Amino acid sequence: MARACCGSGARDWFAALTGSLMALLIAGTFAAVADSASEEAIAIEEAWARPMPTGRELGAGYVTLRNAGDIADRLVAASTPRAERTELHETTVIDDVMRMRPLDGGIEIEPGGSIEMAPGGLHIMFLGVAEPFSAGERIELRLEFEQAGERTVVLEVRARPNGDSHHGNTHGDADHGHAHGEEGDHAH
Amino acid sequence: MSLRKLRIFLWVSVAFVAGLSLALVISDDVRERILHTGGGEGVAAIGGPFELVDHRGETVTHEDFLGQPAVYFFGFTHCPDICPTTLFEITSWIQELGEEVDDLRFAFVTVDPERDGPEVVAQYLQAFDERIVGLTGTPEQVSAMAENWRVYVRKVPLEDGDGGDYTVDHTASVYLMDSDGRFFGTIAFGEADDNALAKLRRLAQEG
Ligand SMILES: [Cu+2]
Repeated sequence: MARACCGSGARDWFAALTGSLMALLIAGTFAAVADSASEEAIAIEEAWARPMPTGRELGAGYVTLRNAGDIADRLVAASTPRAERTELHETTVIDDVMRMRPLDGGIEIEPGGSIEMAPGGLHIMFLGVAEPFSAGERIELRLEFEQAGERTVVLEVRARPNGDSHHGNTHGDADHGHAHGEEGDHAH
Repeated sequence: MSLRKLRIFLWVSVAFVAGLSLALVISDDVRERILHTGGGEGVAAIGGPFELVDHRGETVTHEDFLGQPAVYFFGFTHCPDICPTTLFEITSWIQELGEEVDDLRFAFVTVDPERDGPEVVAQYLQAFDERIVGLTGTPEQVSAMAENWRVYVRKVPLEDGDGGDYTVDHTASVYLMDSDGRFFGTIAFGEADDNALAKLRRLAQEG
């Protein structure tokens, strides 16, 4: 009986070991999947920045963020080696008056939603830029998300948005100078 | 009539005459204002005399802009978003319209004269079409123009700006003025290019 006891004890121990190993493996796989899922939940598109006039040490950059995940995420900070300070700002034009304010709480992206930064709206503001961005340059930008963590994108420096559009309404027609798409949404 | 009644009567008369003349003065003023708004043509009294300094440091007045229609944009060089956007747009409109707008004049007026002296404005404008003239001046000169031209200007400190950093809330539209210096219309921020181009063509032909 002792042998049976001990034998079965060893089997139990073995089963427990394999069990926990498998559990660890499965958990690890899930963690990895979850990790990559949260990393890919945020897609970054249309990343560009404006060339800066000589002598200006500030400027704006724009990105489009899509959240394909099931939970809300938040862009909390941005940085680039090219600027001393990088802030998240919003410009509004209401009753023909332009105002710009810092967004201290970051920018939330709802699950399944997207944020389109564009002139006259949300932007990433660069302050203390020693070497002004010039057209054709590529600027490395790090974005910090509450959920997705840190991501790096490259901003293309160009005078006007892709497709010559305003407000980021037109996408993917970079070769067409006069596409206006659905641009009838202005108050004026 | 007792002396007391006479006194009251006289005071009432004085008050009446004073009130009447005041009413006349006011209505004169009102009439003047109505006349200045184009006498029923429906043109608002936006615009008028100004004395400023251009990006070369030379004094310019509204008279230097008479004889040709002109396009004005109010902004400041520390504005990262709307101002370069609009100035790049004006640049592309000038390029697009070519000879059609040879007779138009273009001006960028800073609403932040404290930071935007002539040299700063001159350097800033190098990024845009060379036909855009820069205008600045003393804070008094600039605010006098802003008032006459109904341009909204308000300095707002940026919270975490350590060195007294500020932004300037301001009117976003581009002003179109005819060759007599009268208000012709505006191009709103973000207005479709086709609209903007049509307005500039009309200003060149009719302004
Ligand atoms: Cu900003």
